[in-house]
Amino acid sequence: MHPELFTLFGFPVRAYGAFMTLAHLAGIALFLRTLRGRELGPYIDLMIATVIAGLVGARLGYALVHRDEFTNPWRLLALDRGGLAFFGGLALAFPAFCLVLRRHRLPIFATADLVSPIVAFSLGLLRIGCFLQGCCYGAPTELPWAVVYGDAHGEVPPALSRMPLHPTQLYEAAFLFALSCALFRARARAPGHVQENFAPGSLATAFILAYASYRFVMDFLRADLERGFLGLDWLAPTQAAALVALLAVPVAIRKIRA
Amino acid sequence: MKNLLKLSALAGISFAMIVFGACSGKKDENGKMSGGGSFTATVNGTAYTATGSVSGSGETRVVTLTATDANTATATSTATH
Repeated sequence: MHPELFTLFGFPVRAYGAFMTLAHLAGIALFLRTLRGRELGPYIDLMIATVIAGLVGARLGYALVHRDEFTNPWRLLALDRGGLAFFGGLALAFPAFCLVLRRHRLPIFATADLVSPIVAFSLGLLRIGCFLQGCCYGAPTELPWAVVYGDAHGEVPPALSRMPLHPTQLYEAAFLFALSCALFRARARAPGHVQENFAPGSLATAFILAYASYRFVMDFLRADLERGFLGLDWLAPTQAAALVALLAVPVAIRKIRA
Repeated sequence: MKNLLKLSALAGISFAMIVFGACSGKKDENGKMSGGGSFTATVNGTAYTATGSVSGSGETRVVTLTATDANTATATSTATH
């Protein structure tokens, strides 16, 4: 749609990279606003650790599923060529999140509840970057709101660039903004600490379950995913990861609480 | 002061993310193509041999068609996509 936004000192700034930066800065600003009146040091450590672990996990998660693209290991460092997977990021960011909080003796579940609406909001912003970049594109459709990428097709293959496609990135952005609003509202109804109205971890669990359910269902509309995972010709790796999250997260949280 | 430095580092990491390309990777090559074939035909008593080949990688495909008659006169047509 608009894969290259502008050039900066001769380097092309792509929509995905620009929105990645925007999403992180917005997330940091919202989290700092949430933390007003608290000692910031441990939470800044938390943000640094989870952001780095999340990026490394997202990159490794993508490489694990697309091993054929990474026959040369140095390709892992070619970040400008793309390749990140949300569930891979979650798989490394969550342990890093727990480790930093434990080190600073801060509550894991209550903090996860603070972070969840912000993560949903930032991820929604990132999906707008995906839309402009042309990654995460949808399958062809005749629906009136379908989009045609045309010449500025970015990651959309030329064969699909002239066809009307589901704007799956905008569907996901709309879902994530709505989910973020719902989580912010639920948190606002419990002044001070979430525990007063909900068991700690409820909002974080709701976020992960809602997002994993969304991805499992709506990834059927995406045309960029390679299907055939685990021998099932309809299953994409992201859907398998969503199923694992749907099954594992409630069990893990129950075990940690016990 | 220490927090300010850490926040600056965090903002620096966020700004560095501007280099990211996309969430799906761009493959080094979309598969290499090569191959071809030939056939012969006789038109008004003259035999012609036509050969075709295709090559290229990434998003570039070069298709070449060559027709040769018995006197080895050759006509070549190349199309690049």
